[in-house]
Amino acid sequence: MTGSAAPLEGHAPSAAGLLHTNSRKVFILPTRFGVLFGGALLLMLLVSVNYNNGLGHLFTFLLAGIAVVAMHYTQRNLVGIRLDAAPCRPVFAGDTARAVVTASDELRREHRAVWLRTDVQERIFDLERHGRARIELPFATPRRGLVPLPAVALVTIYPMGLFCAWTRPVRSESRLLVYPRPAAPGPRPDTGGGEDTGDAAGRRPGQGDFDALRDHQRGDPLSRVHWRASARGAGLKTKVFDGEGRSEHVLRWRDASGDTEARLSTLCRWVLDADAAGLAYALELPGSVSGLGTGNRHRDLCLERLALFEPGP
Amino acid sequence: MKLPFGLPSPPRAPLHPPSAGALYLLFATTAFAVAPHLLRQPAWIGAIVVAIIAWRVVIALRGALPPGALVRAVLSVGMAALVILQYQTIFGRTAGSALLVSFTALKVLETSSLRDAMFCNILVTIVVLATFLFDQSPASAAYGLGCLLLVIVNFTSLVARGRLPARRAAGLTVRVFLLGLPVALVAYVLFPRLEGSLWGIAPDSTEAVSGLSDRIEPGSVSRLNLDDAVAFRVDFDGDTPERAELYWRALVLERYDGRVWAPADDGAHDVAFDSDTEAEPFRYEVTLEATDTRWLPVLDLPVSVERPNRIDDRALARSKDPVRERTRYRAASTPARYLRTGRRQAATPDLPLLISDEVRELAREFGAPGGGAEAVAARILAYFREQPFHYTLTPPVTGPRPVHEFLFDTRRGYCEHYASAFAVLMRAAGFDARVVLGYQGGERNPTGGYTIVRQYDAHAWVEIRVAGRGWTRVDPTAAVAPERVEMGLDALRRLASTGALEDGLDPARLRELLQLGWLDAQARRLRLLGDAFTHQWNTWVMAYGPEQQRLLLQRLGVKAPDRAWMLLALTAAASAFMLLTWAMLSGAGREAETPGKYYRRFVRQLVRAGLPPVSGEGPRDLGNRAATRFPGHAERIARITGQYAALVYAPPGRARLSDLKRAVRAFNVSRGDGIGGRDPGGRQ
Repeated sequence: MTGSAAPLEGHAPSAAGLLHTNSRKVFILPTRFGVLFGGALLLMLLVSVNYNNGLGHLFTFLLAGIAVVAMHYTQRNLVGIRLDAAPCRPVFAGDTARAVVTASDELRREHRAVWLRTDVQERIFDLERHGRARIELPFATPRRGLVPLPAVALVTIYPMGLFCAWTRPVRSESRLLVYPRPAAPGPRPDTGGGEDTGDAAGRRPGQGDFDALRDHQRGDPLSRVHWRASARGAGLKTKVFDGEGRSEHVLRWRDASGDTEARLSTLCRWVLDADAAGLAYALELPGSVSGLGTGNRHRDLCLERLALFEPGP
Repeated sequence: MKLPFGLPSPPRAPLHPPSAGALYLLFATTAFAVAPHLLRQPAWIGAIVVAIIAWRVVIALRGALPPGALVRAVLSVGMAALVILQYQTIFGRTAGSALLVSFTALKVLETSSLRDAMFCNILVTIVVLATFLFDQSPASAAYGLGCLLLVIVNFTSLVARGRLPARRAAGLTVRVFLLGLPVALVAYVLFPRLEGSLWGIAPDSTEAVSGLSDRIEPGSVSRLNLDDAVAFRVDFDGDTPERAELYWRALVLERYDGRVWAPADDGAHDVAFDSDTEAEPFRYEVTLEATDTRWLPVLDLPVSVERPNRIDDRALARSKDPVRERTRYRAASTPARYLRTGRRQAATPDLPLLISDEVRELAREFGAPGGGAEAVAARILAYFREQPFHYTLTPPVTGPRPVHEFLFDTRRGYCEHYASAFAVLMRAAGFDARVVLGYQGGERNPTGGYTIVRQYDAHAWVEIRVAGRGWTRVDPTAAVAPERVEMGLDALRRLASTGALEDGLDPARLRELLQLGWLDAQARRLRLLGDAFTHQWNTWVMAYGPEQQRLLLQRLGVKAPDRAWMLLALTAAASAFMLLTWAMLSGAGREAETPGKYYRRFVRQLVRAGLPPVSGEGPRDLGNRAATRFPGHAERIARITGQYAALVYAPPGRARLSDLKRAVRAFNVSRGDGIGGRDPGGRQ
């Protein structure tokens, strides 16, 4: 089949899902209980043979048959599950990120007591027919940068614990963006060049009078939408404060102190502060300077640059 | 653990502690499973085992921790020591099961983790199997089935950690059981059965047995034992002989001391018989209940019996070891009248001293007219018939001269009295005679087509030696009470209870009295039905050995079912079972219900209608191309493409698979719908 499996233009192939389990992807072996149970069966068969015990034979064979059926049930419990990894929101280093995995049934069957497992943790979930389960896997992010999501595997010993079925671990292709850990709140950066008019520091944006209204742009904080004007039917308007746009802050690498990571942390804090203050700011890193900007989008871009910053040789 | 072929190494199984509910169920199951063992053990073992399980339940109820390793170790050693003190051994069924049950209880005490709980549940299965070593009755099987289902529920509830509603758990248990049942039955039939045992079985018979006594003392008891327990059941290969011909001999009594008839001491010899008749022998199979003796009842006169049993020179069948549990043997008997081989009876030289002068005089009268043993016997039988002798089940107790008192005073008795008196008279008249103990008659079960012989069918008769021909059977009881032989003792018993027996009624009147009421007749039918089930059960479960297995397989059409054939068939059956359950459960060959499945179907239609596939093309391009080619279907193509894209790429929720499914099913495009003979494939 050609064509049909190809993605729509411009889409990442994430829609293909993280994992579709089928019988070729599910491995199965006896658990230690299964081995023990097999030993018990052997013993029971020997006793039955020795005592020429008809019921004993029948009982032993029944248990063996049931164990085999249970094995197929164990495999069946893992087959037909689709895993999808939801995109993960960026976090600051040191925070706990939450990888979200959605499991759904593809084969109109129930799945019981399935474990979703990473290297360090496991979560149990059930799926009804056509059911869907959302599993959060919190994990620590000690370092900034593009961090791979934890690889996940499915494991189950349901229904009888005699066999263990599992899949290979799979890892989502998408990565988690981890910003540097913001430094403790400290003195405002000396923006240098005397361009700071000082006005902005005295004003608390979002409160009190504003100076003008302009059309809302993406990235403008919601706190600064002029709801009354919007309610009048004028469309979304954003309040513009006096001095905004005029106070230009350049957050400079060289103004921060310490080693690379400390500087990045400091810059991160400054970016957050400047954004909270509603200032227009630019970020200057060795080798690159961003334009002045405001708003969430600008902030996120700056944080991303900090997260991905690689010091030169 | 490293696996070959680059397979990913198996993860450790999730071992999370089981839920409290699962643990309680496990404890309850264990208590249920050990209960039948406790009934067979001394009370103190039962008390300790129950106390330990109760202790664990109390601990669980309080949310406390099980006792530490030291306490458990002391308990284990203590229990083992007590069991050894009790039985002097740890081997054999009884001592072994005492030990097994004790350790199962101690395992319960220890159990808190999943590992312990699973281990305990596996132990329960062994405990159930041990039950079958003592009792293989249908009731025991039903009990085992209950335990088995509970064991499956336990496994499931331990693993599912309370995530499986009770109804689902029950449904799953039943499904797993029913899927496993067919292969278990096939394996049961095909698994090669062995003759004998792998290791010695310690003899520890605890079963109460009832049966023939090996001596008789007529006149010592005033009441015949009317035990209606089954003595044995018989399947005849061909027709069943007449009831009056069903004399089952078990024991010959040759020594007489004036009161008691007892078997001769001297060892029996293995003798082959030849029959004096051309008649085809009866072939049959006897299922004998435990007797704790070596006598095997066989139809008069036996010619052969299945090995390792043997027939001695008195035409008695003997097993190698005492019959401690129900056993089966095949035998063949001839309807011949004379038993030609056999020694002369051991002389009883002091017989004159043991009997009274009157008896001796009576014997001389019978012998005086001359003739052989048979003529004398006929005279004695006529005497019994003509004089006022009565058959009764409740004869009076007689004094120190039982034969004298019976012949001249009481004249009332049952088979033992008549046989004893007859044999004494024959001997006194100078002929060889001996008393034979066994059973007479049997109830035919129409449901199973077999004959049931009960303890109350026990009978005694006489064999006399006819010069030149051999031993022949004479039943003096039949002369006095032909109905005893024709109708059986059960009928006599019922007649006795109405008082009709004493009056000597004519046979027609007796039969009328014997007519059962409707309710009784139904009860009897049900009883026979139940017995037929028991008999089938005994045949196919308890006595299913190598011989039975060979017969069954031959009946199923296997010409030579040897062990290799069975193993091969078993392997084939097991493989078929694996494949079948896999196909049923894994969903192999069943495509996932995904958008892709229906979209691919849609694309196949387009290709068949003449739209060439293009590698690397996305759905949107394909849709555009198809719409250009099939303008008549453009709207539908657009809808399907849109639905597919919504299902696959949009966040889940809005789009429904069923819509896409319906649209694709309704979509029908054919070659004629297209415009332009050739499609310039891939062009934008």
